[in-house]
Amino acid sequence: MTHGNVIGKGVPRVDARGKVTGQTKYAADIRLPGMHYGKIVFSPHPRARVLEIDCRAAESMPGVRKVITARNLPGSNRYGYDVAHRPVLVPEGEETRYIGDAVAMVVASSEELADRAAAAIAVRYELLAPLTSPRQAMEPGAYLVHAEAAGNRCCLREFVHGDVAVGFQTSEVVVEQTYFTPRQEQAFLEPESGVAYQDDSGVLHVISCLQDPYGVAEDIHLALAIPKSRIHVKGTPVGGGFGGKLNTTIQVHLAAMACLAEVPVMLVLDREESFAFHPKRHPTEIRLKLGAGRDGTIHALEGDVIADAGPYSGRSPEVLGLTMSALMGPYRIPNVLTRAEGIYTNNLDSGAFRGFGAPQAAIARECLLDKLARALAMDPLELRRRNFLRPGDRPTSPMLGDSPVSLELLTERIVEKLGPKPSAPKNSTKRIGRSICFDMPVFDVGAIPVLGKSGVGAAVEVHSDGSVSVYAGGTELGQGVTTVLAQMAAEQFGLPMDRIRVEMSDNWTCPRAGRTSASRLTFGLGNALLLATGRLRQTLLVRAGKMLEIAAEDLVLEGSEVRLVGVPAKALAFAEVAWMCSDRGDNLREEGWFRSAEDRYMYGHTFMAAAADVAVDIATGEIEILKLANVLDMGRVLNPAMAFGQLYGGAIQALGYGLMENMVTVDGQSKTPSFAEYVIPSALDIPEEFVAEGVETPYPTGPFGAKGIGEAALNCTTPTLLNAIADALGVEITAVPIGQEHILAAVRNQKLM
Amino acid sequence: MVYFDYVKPPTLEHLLEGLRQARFEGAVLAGGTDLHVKIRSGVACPRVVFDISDLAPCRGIVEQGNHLRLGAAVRMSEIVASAAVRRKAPALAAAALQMSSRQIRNRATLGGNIVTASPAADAVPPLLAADATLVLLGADGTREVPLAEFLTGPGKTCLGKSEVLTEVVIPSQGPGCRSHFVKVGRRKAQAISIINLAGRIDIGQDGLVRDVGIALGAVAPTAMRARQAEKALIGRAPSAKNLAEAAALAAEECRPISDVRATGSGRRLLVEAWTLRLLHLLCETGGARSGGRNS
Ligand SMILES: Cc1cc2nc3c(=O)[nH]c(=O)nc-3n(C[C@H](O)[C@H](O)[C@H](O)COP(=O)(O)OP(=O)(O)OC[C@H]3O[C@@H](n4cnc5c(N)ncnc54)[C@H](O)[C@@H]3O)c2cc1C
Repeated sequence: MTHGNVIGKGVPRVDARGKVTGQTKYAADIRLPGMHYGKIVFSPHPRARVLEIDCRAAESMPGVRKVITARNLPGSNRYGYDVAHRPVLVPEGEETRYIGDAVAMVVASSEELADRAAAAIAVRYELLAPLTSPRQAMEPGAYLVHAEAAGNRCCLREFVHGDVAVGFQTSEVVVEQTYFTPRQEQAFLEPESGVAYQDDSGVLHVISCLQDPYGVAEDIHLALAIPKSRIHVKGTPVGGGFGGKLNTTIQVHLAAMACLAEVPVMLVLDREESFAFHPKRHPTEIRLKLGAGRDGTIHALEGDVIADAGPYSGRSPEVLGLTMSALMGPYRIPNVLTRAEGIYTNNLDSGAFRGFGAPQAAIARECLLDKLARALAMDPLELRRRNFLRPGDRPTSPMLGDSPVSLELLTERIVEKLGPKPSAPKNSTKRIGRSICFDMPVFDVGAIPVLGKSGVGAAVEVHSDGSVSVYAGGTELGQGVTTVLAQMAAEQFGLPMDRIRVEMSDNWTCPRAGRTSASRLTFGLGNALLLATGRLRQTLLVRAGKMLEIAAEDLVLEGSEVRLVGVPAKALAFAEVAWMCSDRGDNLREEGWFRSAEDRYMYGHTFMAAAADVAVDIATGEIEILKLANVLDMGRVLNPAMAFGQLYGGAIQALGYGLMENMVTVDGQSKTPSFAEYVIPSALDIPEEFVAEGVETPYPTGPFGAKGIGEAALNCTTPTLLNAIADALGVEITAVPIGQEHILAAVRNQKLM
Repeated sequence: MVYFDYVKPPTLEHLLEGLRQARFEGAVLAGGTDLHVKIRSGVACPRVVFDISDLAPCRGIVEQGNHLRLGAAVRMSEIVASAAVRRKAPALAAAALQMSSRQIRNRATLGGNIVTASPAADAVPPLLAADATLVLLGADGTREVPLAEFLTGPGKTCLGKSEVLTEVVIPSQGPGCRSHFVKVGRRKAQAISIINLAGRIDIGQDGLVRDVGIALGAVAPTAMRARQAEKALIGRAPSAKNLAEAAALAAEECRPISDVRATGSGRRLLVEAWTLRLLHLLCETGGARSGGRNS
């Protein structure tokens, strides 16, 4: 394959101009003629029986077009990924399960009137005691959030490998610890929003920010009994999702409003509604145990994860499946027993968030490895290296894969990036700590059994003027997939970037591509696109061959021309060939369908190393990150500027996860209902020395050798920071986030002052 | 969403008259950075707001003898830029600089910060440590109230319903006096303080502490003076041992609660650690680092 024209170059994002100049239309920027405004009435109580909903006052208010309760809804009133058990609106007589449950909706001619009407809907509740912790929900006799889920168990995932009993028996050193990880909010800037309308042919159009147009269409069909052929879902540019928009958000509500009010409707959640509504990173309690020989060889690992799944199933089984699988990391472990359990509660909902369950596992695993190193009096890096997967090894995980193992290369590179360990000034109360951690984040390569629908399609059309359209059903979340696909098409056709237009996230115009998650689009859509462009290239070359009376095999596409290899003068303009193809009736639109073999339950693995140097002031508890670095094996870096953007962004979210973020609930109510209380890193919290690096071990099945990298950098950056702090103080950290006062408490307990 | 009338009174007389007519349904709007938040969450629901952000009598920073008089509607960014404040009340300048973000500092006023009466308000400890007084204007004329008496609880003050705060007066500080402010937040900008504190110290020719003020925020229903800690220092040498003893007393006398930002016991640890650091800074470096991390 000839490439290198635009692949591997930091070409500007195709959406940069619109975003920088403010011209990009996000969902909330859309205006339609006759557009009305929707407002959802959410339950203020995490658990309450809805006794009566009185809409009379609201209905008689001026400008109110429609007031909707469960009574008005067509269809099942249920939707949801995994189990369709989430009500669109909680009906009278039924119970609410969290503060993000909706009980009624209004559609009015202005936002103000919709607000006033929503406030005028009188709902009588019978308050009931909520279940607010998984431990409490697991107790025998606890009330059931879902009658059919005994013990409030949402899911249980188990993995057995070898025999842990034997593994621990042969171990000379055994360490064990329980870790607590917080609920993390995606904190995307753009709240859930969209517009919907039904056209005169009875087609429902939903235009909204989302991560999975096909999943949204499915949910609308399930809940409202609208035939799929009449549901058009179009994704808008997304102002951040990070998994928080992976499940259907407000689109079913919006669809019901548009159908019942019979006008175009806009719905935009406010910040508090958004925070209360969407699923977040699962809070977990992880008990982990490691056994090893004196030489540091790990013999056994046993792990037990209890996670707060919140009120609905959603992605919990998949997320916790990954938590369970990721506990082993990139290490050889002969005997393993891990289980992860999701428990229903009336707290905020839990679901997908960049890293998808793996960051929790990485905290437990990497922190316990440091504890093991201390118990063995061994250098923590040396301990890790002794247990690294070696080239040719299969991962110690149910998530098998065939990515070339490059851990030694990553080690070499990260040690080089770190340089000598800094030392604290004399007579200072500062202590210096360092840590290096590893991970093997997964990405979907099209054969994940639990997800089923993993096939990916992309269509490519060459127009008669030689310009190109790409139709790809994935969603641009800011990760840059639009640009990467344009780069691939440009490379394949030998055209400049501006000849390629990429249309995304539309269940009508784009072939089915599944969800935008699992770091899967560059790999999946890229491969589908290569199949489609491959066929089109052939069509063009054959036609050009006929025109030039030369064999197609001797021709190449480059410089916007079809050229005879080695004889640049012998060439036709790409546009001329395209025109001739069109004129002669050649098919100029091809669809590529990519899917790994069904019997290979394979994942891609993006091996990574993260490192941190920190200075901790034992007098005040202040933590200063002197250097933060990560190095990832990205297979092939398609666009360095964007790839490193992902690595930096992921590391910053990991920093927030370790040092400041926690979405706290008390009695099922959020204590961090907005950005005033929920603290994420600011620009000033970014470490002075912040390094992201790539190594490139081409991934044989990846497009141009590329891997999925969207989530990866988040994974083991958090434990790297925690271990560096622990190293500075000689203490153990078992709960995050960790702040100054926790450092002071640790200092006091250890009598370090 | 809440809907209200907006009035911009041209003089203090118009303001007082407006407030009187609005009875209990009027509110003063200075920068609006607290008021709008309260209105949106339903804590406040005024029928009419009176914008004082440009009202001349509330706008100046004046050195009067050794006193410093600041109008209630002076913005944090103006405090940061004022040479007079940096000279006479460096702790206040530091607090203003570390508050929130540039955007908020361009709106937020000193008066608003005080009247909101948040236990975590950043400008309050420096004023409290400096024994500042407030000038209140009502239908019956003006009265002057010490800041310490003005604040009566979280969100509570002794301001009458139709009274306004017009000025803040910082009394003269001795020539050798140093002051300093510390803010502990979860991140380096735009964070509500977990704790904040300010100190002012005057060390005599004999090397003994002549006068000291230590004010702690976010560890009691209102910002508070650490009187025990102060007492333990007056007349004594600022030795490492004495400073540590004072810091321990400050941690003992504060009454922090647990909330979403930190636990009570965590706050106590922070008070001790940072009071000690604050006292060391005051005694060793001359305090008054008017720099901060914000930009
Ligand atoms: C994003 C954000 C970040 C913030 N960060 C910080 C921070 O880091 N530190 C901090 O301390 N605060 C912070 N605050 C709170 C707020 O900005 C400050 O308290 C500010 O000083 C309030 O001043 P204002 O002029 O905006 O008050 P306003 O909102 O105008 O008024 C506040 C209250 O005081 C009353 N009032 C105002 N002036 C007078 C007067 N002259 N007489 C009588 N009553 C009056 C009003 O009626 C109202 O009840 C933050 C707020 C926001 C929105």
